[in-house]
Amino acid sequence: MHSQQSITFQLSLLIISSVALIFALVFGYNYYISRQLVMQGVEREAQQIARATLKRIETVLYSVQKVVQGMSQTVQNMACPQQDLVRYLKAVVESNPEVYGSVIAFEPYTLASDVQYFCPYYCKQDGKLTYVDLGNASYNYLNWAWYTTPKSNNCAVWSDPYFDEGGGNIVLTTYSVPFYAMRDAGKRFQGVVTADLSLDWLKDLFASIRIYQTGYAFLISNKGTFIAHPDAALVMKETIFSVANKRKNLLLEQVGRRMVNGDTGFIPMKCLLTNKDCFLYYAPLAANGWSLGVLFPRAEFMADVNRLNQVVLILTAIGFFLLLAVIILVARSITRPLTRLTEAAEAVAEGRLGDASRLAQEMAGRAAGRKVRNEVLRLRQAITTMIHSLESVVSQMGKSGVLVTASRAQIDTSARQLESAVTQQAASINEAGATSKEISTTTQQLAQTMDQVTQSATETATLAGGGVTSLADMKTAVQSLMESTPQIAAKLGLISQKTSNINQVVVTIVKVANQTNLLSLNASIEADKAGEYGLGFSVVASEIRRLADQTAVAALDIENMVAEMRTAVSEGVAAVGNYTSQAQISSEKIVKLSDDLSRIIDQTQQLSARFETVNESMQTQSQGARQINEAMEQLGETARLTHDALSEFKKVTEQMSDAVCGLQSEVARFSVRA
Amino acid sequence: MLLLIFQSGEDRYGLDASRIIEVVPLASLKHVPHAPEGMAGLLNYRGTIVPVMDLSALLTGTPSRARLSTRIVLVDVSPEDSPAPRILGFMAERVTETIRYREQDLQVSGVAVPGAPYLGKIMLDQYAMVQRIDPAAVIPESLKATLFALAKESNHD
Repeated sequence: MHSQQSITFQLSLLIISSVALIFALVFGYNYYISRQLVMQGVEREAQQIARATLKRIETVLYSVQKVVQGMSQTVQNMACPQQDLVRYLKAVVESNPEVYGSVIAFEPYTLASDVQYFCPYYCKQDGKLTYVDLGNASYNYLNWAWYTTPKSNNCAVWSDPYFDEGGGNIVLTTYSVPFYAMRDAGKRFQGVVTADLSLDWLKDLFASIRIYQTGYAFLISNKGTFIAHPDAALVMKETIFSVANKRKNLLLEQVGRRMVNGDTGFIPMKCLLTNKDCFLYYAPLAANGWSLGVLFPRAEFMADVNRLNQVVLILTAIGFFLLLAVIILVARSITRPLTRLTEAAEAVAEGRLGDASRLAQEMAGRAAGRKVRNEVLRLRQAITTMIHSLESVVSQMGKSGVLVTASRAQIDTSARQLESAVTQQAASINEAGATSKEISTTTQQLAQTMDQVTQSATETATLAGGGVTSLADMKTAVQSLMESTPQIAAKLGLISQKTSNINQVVVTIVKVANQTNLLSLNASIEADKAGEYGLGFSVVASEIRRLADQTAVAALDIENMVAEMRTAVSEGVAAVGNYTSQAQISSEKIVKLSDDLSRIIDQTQQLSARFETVNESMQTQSQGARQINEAMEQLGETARLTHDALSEFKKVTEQMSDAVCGLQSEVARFSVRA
Repeated sequence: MLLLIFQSGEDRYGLDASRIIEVVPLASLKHVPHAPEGMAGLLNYRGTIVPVMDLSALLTGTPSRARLSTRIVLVDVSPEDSPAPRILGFMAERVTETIRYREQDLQVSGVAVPGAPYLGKIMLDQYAMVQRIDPAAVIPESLKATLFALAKESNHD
């Protein structure tokens, strides 16, 4: 699947995912650290707020404690009349603005043996100093917690907050300190002094504590009762446990226990008012074990961090898009030439060399403005060079193919001409054979005639030698001889004519041989042009030339023989002429000199000898004719060989044609730019 | 490579076959009055008028004898980049054989004749020495222009 995606996609995916991973790690780390720093800051701030608040509360509480402890010391050491005590009490309440009201209560009969109850009380009811004597049986202070608790515990105690008994919705807390009578080297419980502290100022104090928008602080007593809380419905009416119970909030209950136990901590929880995520810092009040809680709304103190993170995320997203755009641009600029090169290579593969070359040139033109030397450029140069090489090879092949085809056509023409020449030569040879046969026949006839002549001569000689008789017979014989003479001359003339016929044939043969030589020369030249493909044909052409040379040599032989024959015939003609004239002379002499018979016999004998010469000439002629016949047969053989060579030559030409066709069909796949 | 052999006087010369178009028999040529030395005349070669040089006349001063083996060799002497072929005929005696040779068989003659730049390298075969003739250099450039102009005009006529 991925392998089919483009390089651009793969590159973008790879880089974007790597960068995203790095961003995520950096962002996560940054968020974690900043959150921790903020948390630490918040905890520190919570501690400061809590400490400041606690200190302000404790300052008030301690000042009240000092007052009460001072009163107890005073009351313990001073045995004074009741009126003085009341006056003292009044002065204390008047001079201490923090003190709402104060009591000095004595155990029955410890102040004076006749005084059972003594419990004067001053308070600032509605801002007016009011005296109430609580020392009566109806109130019976001896059973109230503010009296019994310090008595039984032998130590000073802060009471739980409560609503004022004497009317008004003032929340009070009371600090009770026991005092003792130092007698008989021991101390005996004598009574309790108390001071009431109004908690109205706590409202103002807690209202002034502002933590972010919705954060707040609250105070609970050591029983869990809300003393101060922004929700007025809870104050003095609910405890932290009752709220936890109502809301089925286990965490709140646990927190309440820890707070009541006087622990200090910083924990996450839900806000009681808004139910949002908060962090609670709680710490105890050292003086009376109350616990202060400070709530920090998480969303608000984390707002800055979250805003920072949002900005970082937006910047990251913008950065991603910019990066993606840059990557795509870069990748495109790399892959675009590659795509074009691929198209060019595909064009080469499909044989469209023209298109490929055009693409390569377009690329070169586009790249001409930029000075880049990279792998793409080298690839493009390599492909361009390859295309040019292919083009030149293809066009060269095309040209060679055309050249070879043209050569082949010329060779075909030459072969046809050669074939007709050979056929013509064979016809000429046949004609020459027939002519030589005629010569042979004529010569034989001549020989027969000569035999007859010889016989006649012999008869003449016999007649003469026999001393026979009548010259008339002799004359007749001589006359018959005379008659034979033109016949011989005619036969010789015929021979001469046939000889010139042979000469013509020989001339034809020589011309044909010459033509063959010329054709074989042209064939050799064409074969040489055809190069490797013409080698076989070149051998055939030289073989044909050799045969043509042999033909020429044979023709030369025939020419020589005919010349010899002509010489022989001329000799024969001369002899016959000579014989004729001598016969005439003899005839005249027979007429004139009948007695010169012996000379006639001699002459007749001489004639006989001359006939022998003629006969020999005739035989030479006959032999010559036979030799011509043999030469003709040899020529016939040569013509056959030539014919065989021609058919072999044709086969070679066809092979060459097939090879060229194959080559051209292979090359035709490639189209060269026009 | 192939060398077409011819004879002039007693010596044998050769023409390289690669530029040869065809060897034709001796035919009657149109005589050109006041033709330059060594020019035999004009030949009608398949409808094209081709000037014919007599190599025998050029090499020995004696015109070629009319023999069957005396033939006219048609050579393409056009330069490499020429669009149309320039054909020149060479008349020579005893044009009857070819020799197969390699370039390294040739040796430099060692004699450069100023008037005859067409005389090339020499090779030895089984019979005698053969000197290669450069057909393109047979006619000087100036005369070539005249000659081909002549041929062209003749063709137009």
